[in-house]
Amino acid sequence: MTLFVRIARTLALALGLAALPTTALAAGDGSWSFKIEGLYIIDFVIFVGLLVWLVRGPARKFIRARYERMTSEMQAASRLKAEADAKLAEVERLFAALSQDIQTIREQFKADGERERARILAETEAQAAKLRAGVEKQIEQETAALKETLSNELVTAVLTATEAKVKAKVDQATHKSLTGAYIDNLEKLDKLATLEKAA
Amino acid sequence: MSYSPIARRYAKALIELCAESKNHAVIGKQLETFAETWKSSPELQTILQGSTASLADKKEILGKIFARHLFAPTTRNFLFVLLEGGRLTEIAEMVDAFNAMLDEQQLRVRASVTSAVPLEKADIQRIQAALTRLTGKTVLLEARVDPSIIGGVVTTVGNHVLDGSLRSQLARLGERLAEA
Repeated sequence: MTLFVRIARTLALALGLAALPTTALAAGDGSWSFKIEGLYIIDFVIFVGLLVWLVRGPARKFIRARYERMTSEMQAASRLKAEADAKLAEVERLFAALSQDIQTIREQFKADGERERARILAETEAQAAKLRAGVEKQIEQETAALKETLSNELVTAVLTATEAKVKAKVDQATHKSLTGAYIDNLEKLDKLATLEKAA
Repeated sequence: MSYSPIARRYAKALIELCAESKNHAVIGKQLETFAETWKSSPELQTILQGSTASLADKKEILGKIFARHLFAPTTRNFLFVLLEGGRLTEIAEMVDAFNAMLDEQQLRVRASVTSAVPLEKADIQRIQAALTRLTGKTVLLEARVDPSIIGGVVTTVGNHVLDGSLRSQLARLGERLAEA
């Protein structure tokens, strides 16, 4: 039997029962009468009994279902709460770790910066040393070249002055003397191989 | 001094040609004259080396030069052979090789003595005598004057140089100063 048919029947019976006291009341004189008030009470009890009989099953089912749903929902809520708590704990742990991470990263950055600074410093020093060595070498070379140039110029100047003096002093007698000495040396040689040595 | 095989071969052939007439000196001198003419005349080189003039024309030109210098038949024939063989460009080296081989054959050696002022004849003779003793050969000595040597004497015999000039002494002084 469907719930609709049961409800329809119950309503019809209830209406019928409700009509009985009304009829009795209309026939009375206003004082308490079993036929009137008693029927009312009986009618009410029957009504309540019917109501209980009809509604108890669905109500129990409904309550049971509602109970189960609420229990399930509460369990789900508990589970979600547990998950949320776990997430919160995780987040809190992460937050707690975050400051540590930030500190670690900061220290890492600092260490990296120090290393980079040291590397740049070393590189710069190496370049500076290289430049210094190059400049020193260049200075050394230029000094040597300048020294050689000065030396050559000095020698040239000395030779030029000496040559001028020699030319001024060489006269016919000197030529004769030089030639005589040359021939004397030549005549003293015993073989051609020693020719250069006599010069 | 070393000469090319071609120059030596032609020089040797010329010496053999001169052996009968024994006119090596004359031939050598005439070839020297021609070598100088050849060197100093680019026009002559252009004509005799080029293809514009025929061989007969070239021989005619050479003939005129020969007539002007009164070249001996041996010299003429030798130069004609060089012309036909296209070897006139090597005449200077051939003359040098000829003289060197001739000197070698006749136990002669060429030498030069250079001085700032002309040497007295007695000095030249003393130098020649000294060189003759040293080389064991007849010395053909050429005296030169070069004021740039300032004073003293420079003698060259073959590859040997005896430099007693003031110029070289100044140069040595300069070297020592530069080293100090």
